[in-house]
Amino acid sequence: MRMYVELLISYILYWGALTALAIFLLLKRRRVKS
Amino acid sequence: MKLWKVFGVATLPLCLVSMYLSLSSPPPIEAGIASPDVYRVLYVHVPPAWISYLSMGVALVSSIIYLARRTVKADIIALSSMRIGLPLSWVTIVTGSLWANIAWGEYWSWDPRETTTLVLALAFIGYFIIRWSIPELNRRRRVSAMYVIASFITVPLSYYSAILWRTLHPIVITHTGIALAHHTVLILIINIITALLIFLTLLSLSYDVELAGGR
Repeated sequence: MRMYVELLISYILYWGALTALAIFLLLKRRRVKS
Repeated sequence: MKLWKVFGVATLPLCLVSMYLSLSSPPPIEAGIASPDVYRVLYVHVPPAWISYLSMGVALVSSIIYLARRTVKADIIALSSMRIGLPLSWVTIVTGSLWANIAWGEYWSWDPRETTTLVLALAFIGYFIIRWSIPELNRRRRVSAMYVIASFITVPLSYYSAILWRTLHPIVITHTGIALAHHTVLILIINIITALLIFLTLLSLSYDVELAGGR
């Protein structure tokens, strides 16, 4: 069971890191444009 | 239309397809394993590893161009590329560590591949420490570019560590072929293409932001 939790963490981490980076850049873009 | 928007529109559906295939396809390894499904971690370990190598490679080329021609755009590309490589190298470390626990029974064993990839991930952090610590703009760009050229050695070191030294890490790609099932290779390729498109999207977005910000 713990292994499946770790698998879930891996997927959340990968896709979460990419999403967080995209949000960070979009927020920075908004700040730069304003 | 901005380049990052074009890449973004193309990438979003591919993200969903990659995620669906990674989780719904037959497990990567089927024979002799108690919980073969947990090996699906492969699909979120290999793409970030390769993209972090690529981002260091793009930063290397851009840094050489910057030092040769003093083109600010080249420095911005290097910064943008390193910005993507930083989180992905750490994702590689953590997913690799979780996978190591599944496959080898230990989260961290100072295996050559683990250790050299950790050095690569630390090299990404070093780049940003250098950038933040130099206030003078031209000097910051010059030193950062020199740092990237020096720290690129961590990429071949990480990649070839599994071949050069005795390691627990499997060597998947050899001169005789790829040691994975056909469907696994196909899904892995789709995941790598998706990661590559995400890299291009984020690279062009970051480039736009930095160019507009006058960095």
